[in-house]
Amino acid sequence: MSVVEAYRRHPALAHHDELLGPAGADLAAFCDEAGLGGLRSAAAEADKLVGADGIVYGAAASDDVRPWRLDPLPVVIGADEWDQLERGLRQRARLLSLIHSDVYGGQELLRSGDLPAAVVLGHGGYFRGCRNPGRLWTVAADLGRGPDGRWRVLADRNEAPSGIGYAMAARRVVSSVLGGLHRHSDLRRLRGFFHRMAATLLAASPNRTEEPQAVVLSAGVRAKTAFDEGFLATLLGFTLAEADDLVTRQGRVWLRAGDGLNPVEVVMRRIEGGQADPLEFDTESVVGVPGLAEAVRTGGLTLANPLGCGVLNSPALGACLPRLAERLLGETLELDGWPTWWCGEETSRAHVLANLDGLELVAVDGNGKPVDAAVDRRRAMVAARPEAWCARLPQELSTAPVVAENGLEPRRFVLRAFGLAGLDQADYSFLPGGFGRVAGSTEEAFVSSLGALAKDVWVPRADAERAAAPQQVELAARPAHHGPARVTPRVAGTLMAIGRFAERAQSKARLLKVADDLASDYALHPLSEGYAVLGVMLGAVEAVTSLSAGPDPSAFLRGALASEQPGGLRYDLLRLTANAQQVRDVMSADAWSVLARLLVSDTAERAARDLPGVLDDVLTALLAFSGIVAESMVRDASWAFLDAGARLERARQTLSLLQVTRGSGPVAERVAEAVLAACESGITHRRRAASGQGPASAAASELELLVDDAANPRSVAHQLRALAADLELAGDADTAERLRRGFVFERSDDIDAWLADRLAGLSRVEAAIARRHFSRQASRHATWSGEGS
Amino acid sequence: MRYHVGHVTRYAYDDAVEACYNRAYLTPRDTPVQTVLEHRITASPALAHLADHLDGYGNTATYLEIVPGDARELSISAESVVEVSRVAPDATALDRWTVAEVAAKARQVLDKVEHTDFTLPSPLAMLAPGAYARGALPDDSGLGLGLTGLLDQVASDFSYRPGATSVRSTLDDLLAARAGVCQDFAHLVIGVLRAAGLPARYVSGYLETVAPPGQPKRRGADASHAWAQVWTPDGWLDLDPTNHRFADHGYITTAWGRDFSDVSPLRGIVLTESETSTLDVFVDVTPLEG
Repeated sequence: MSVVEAYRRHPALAHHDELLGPAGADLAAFCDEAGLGGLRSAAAEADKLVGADGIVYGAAASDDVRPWRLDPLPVVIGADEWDQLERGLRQRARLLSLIHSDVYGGQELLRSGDLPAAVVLGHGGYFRGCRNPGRLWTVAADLGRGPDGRWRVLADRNEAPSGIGYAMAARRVVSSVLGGLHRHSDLRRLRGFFHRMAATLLAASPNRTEEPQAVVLSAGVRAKTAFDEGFLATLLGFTLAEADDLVTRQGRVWLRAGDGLNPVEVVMRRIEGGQADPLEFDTESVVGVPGLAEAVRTGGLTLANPLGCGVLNSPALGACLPRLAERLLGETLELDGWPTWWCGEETSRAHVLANLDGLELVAVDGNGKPVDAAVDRRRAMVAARPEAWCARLPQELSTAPVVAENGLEPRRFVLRAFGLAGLDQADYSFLPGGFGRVAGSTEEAFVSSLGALAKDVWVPRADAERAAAPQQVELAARPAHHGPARVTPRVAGTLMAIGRFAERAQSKARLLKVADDLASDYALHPLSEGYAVLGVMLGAVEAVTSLSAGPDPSAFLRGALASEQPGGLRYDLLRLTANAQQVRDVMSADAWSVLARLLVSDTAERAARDLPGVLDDVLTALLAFSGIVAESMVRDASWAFLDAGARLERARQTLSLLQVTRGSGPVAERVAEAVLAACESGITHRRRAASGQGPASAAASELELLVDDAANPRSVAHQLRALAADLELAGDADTAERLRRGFVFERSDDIDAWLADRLAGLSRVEAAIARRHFSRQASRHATWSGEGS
Repeated sequence: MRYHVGHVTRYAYDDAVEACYNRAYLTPRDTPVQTVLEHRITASPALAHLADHLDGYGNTATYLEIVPGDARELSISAESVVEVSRVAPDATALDRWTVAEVAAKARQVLDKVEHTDFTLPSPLAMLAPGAYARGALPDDSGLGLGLTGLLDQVASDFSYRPGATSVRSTLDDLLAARAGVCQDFAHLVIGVLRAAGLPARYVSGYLETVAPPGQPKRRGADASHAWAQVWTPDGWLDLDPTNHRFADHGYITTAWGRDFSDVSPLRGIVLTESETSTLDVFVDVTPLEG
C-alpha cells in the first residue's frame, strides 16, 4: 500500500485533510514516489538544514534553546482558494483598521452602540492613555479550516505576532529539501512582502529623513522567538535592538551606539504592548523602554504595531464583526470567525447559558485556551462577569500530514496569516501563505505553542499568472542595511565575546592536541624525558581548564574537550554559539553551518576512539569560522569588536601558557618546543633557526617569538598592534593611543614578574574597553507613591 | 476658599542616579467647583524635559525626565493655587431618587462610553459579587440614605492604617486585612457603587491639612488624598470614605479615572545601581487669605 493510501485510511484523519484535497495532488504524488524511505530522509535533511542554519526556538535566558522543528512536507493552498482567502483577510484588516481608528479616536462606534462599549472598555488590551496611536501597520490572524471546508479566523493576533521570520526560514529549508518539487510548483514568493514592509515603515518615519534609523525591538535572550525576531530584523534590514540598546531623552527614543545617541524614528516592536513601556504599563517590565509611549504621543516615533491594538484581538470584538462590516464597509463579512458568542450581549448570553454543554468558554482577555471546568462552574463564571466571557463551538480543524516513523500521521493544522498596510491607501496586502503549525500529537485538537512542529505553506502561481508574466527575479539576498551600521554596547560586548570564545576554543584545541600527542608517545614511559614534558603540558591544560588531571592523561584530555563547565572546550563552543545567536543580524549566514559542525552531539563518543580526529575537526571548523569572519564581514565597528575579542584572548592565552610552563628545569627546551607548537609558531622557530635568523634553542627563542616579535602574527606584540587598529576602527582613537603608549615591551630580568605584569596590563585594557564601549544602562527601579500612606 | 498646595516627592539612593523618568498627575484640574489659578512643577536636579498632555478623562498628565549626573537625591515639587467652592450635599435631598432610579437614569443620560467606563469593574476596583456590603445599597433605598449607610459601614468595618496595603493592593487584599488607606477605601466604595449599577470614579487630590476648629483631625491630609465620586442626576457627588463624610470646599481635585492606576500622582522608573532607596512625600495644603 502506498504511503498516501495508508494515510488516507488513518483513523485520525479529520473531516478535511490538506494533502488529500485537489491542491495537494502534486505533493501526494511526490510522497508516493519518494516512499516512506524518501520522506524519512527528507525529514532528516530538513533537521540537518535547521541545524546548519542555526534556527532555534526557546529563550536563551531560561536555557531552553533547542533546534526548531519543521516538517518537510508543505501545506499547499491553491491559488484560487488563497485569492479568496486573501480577499477575506484584506476586508477584515480594513475593518479592524477602521475600528482601531475609531476606538482610539472619536469613539463613534461605542457611542452609537454598533460596537458595545464594554467589548472595548472591558478589555485589558485597550490602553486609555494611547489616543490617536497611529495606523494599524500590520495585522495577523490564526486561521483554521472547519468541517464545511471553509477557512475561518480562530483568533486575531495584532499585538506583536511571532512567526513571520519562521515562515521565511521554513521556505528556505523546504525549498532546498524538496528542490525538484519546489521548482516545478512555481510558488508565489515571500521576499517581496518583507521589502514592502521595510519600505512602508521607513516611508512612514515621522521626520522623513533620508535614512531613518529603524529598529526591531526584541526581548532578546528573554524571547522564545528570538530567532524569529532576529531574522525579521535581517529581512527588513533594520537594527535588532533590545531595551538596553535604546534610551529616552527629551521624550524621544535614541539608539545607544558608538559614542553617541542616534535618533530612532521607526520601531517594529516584538514585545507585547503591556511590556513596552514600564512608565505607562507594567512597571516591572525589563524588556520595554520607559518613555516609548511618550515618544509616540509627541509624534517623534512611528511604532508598528501601535500600542493598544491588542484590544482588536478580543474574541468579543470578533463576534461583532459581521455587523460592523455592514455598518462601516457596507459589505458582508467574507471571512467568518469560528462561531463565537459574547456573553455581554443578552441574547448571546441566553444562547450560551442554554447550550453551555456543547460550547467552550474563553476569556475575552485570555490566551484563547478554553476554561477547563464543569458546566455549573462555567455558568457561575458567566453570571458573575458576563462581559468577560465568550463561548465558542469546539474547534474541529482540518489535518495535514507529518512525516513520522511509520508513515504519514495526521495533525490538526493552523495557519497564521500576516498582512501589511499600504502606505497611502487603506488596503492591506498579505504574505502569500503564511506560517503553518500543527498540533504536538495526532490526538491533540488544539494547536497551541509556537514551538510546535512548523509547516511551510505553499501558494503556487495560477496558470493565468504564469502566462501573463514570467516569474519575478528574486531581489538581492538581503536588503541593504538602512542607515549607517550602528553597534550598540550590548552588540559590541557580544561580538567581543564571540571573538574571545572562538579564539579561546582554538588555542585550547591546539594545546589539547599537543598534550595528546605527548600522551600517546610517552604516557607509558614514566622514565622518559617526554613523560616529564607531558606532565608540564598537562599542568598547562589544568591551568587553562581549571580541571584536575587524574591518573589517565587521555581521559583527562577527553574530559577537557567535552566539559560543558567553564574551562571546558565544549563550554567555549556553546558560549560562542549562544553569543552568535544574540547578534544574528550581524553574523554572516555562512557562519551557522560551521557553528553547527562545532556542536555535533556525538563528540564525546567519537573522542573516546579518536581524540586527535575530533580536535582536528574542531580546529578546522574554528578556522573556517575565522575565515568567514575575515572574508565575509565588512571592516566596520562590528568586525572590529569581534577581532578585538580574538586579539585580546590570543595575547592572554599565550602569556598564560608561557607563565605556567616556565621554569621546567632540565626539560625546558622540550617544553618550549611544545609551547611553540601549541602557539602555532614551531615552524617559524625552526625556519629561523635553520637560516640563522634566530636562536637554535626553542627556550631561547620562545619569549622573543611569542611575545616581542610583531612580525609573528601569533605574537603578543602583533595582537596588541591589531587590537589598537581595531579600536581605531571602532572610533576609539583614545584607547588605541593609550594602548600603543602604555604597553611597553622592555623586558625586565624577573621574567615571571614581567609576564604577570603583562597579563595584568591586558586585564586593564579589557576593562577600559568594557567601560568605554559595553556599558549597560543602570538597573531599573520602579517607584510608585501611593496616596494617604 | 483659596488654597496653596505644595506636594514634594523626594527620592534618595545610595548610588548615582543615571536617569529618572516619571509619569505624573500633579496638576489640579478645573471643575465646576474648582478653578486653578497657578501651577508649576520643578525638580532638583533641574528637569531635563517636561511635557503635558490631556488624557482621555481631561486630566493633565505630565511626562518628566531628570538626568541627574552624579546626584543621589532627587526631588519633584508641584505647587498650585486653587479656588474651591464645593459645598457638602444635603443627603436627605438625595433621597428623592432610589438607587435603582439613579442607575436607570445614568444609563439613559450618560454618554455610553462614560457610563460603561465607570460602571464596569476596573483592575483595582474589582469586587466579586456579594463579597462586601451587599445590603448597604439596596435598589429601593433612597440614594442619600444608601450612600450614608455605605460610608457608615466602611467606617465601622475597617481601620485606617498606613502600611497595611500597597499601591498594588486589590480589594481582596483590603477585605482580608480589614485595614488600609484612602485609596483602598475609595476603591472599595467604587466597587460597591458599580455593583449597584451606579457609575463611580476615583478622585486623586488633596485635603485641607488643618481641619477647621471643632472638627477632628483629618486622615490622609499630610499626603495626597483619594476619594470616590458617584454619578447623580444632579452631577457627580464626592464622598470620602476615609473621613466618613461627603466632600466640601476643603477637597482639591487633581484628576479622576476608574481607579488609582489611571491617575496615580507619581510613578517613575529610576536607573541606578543603588541597593537601597527611600521615598518621602510631603504635602501641605494651606488656606490663603482673601
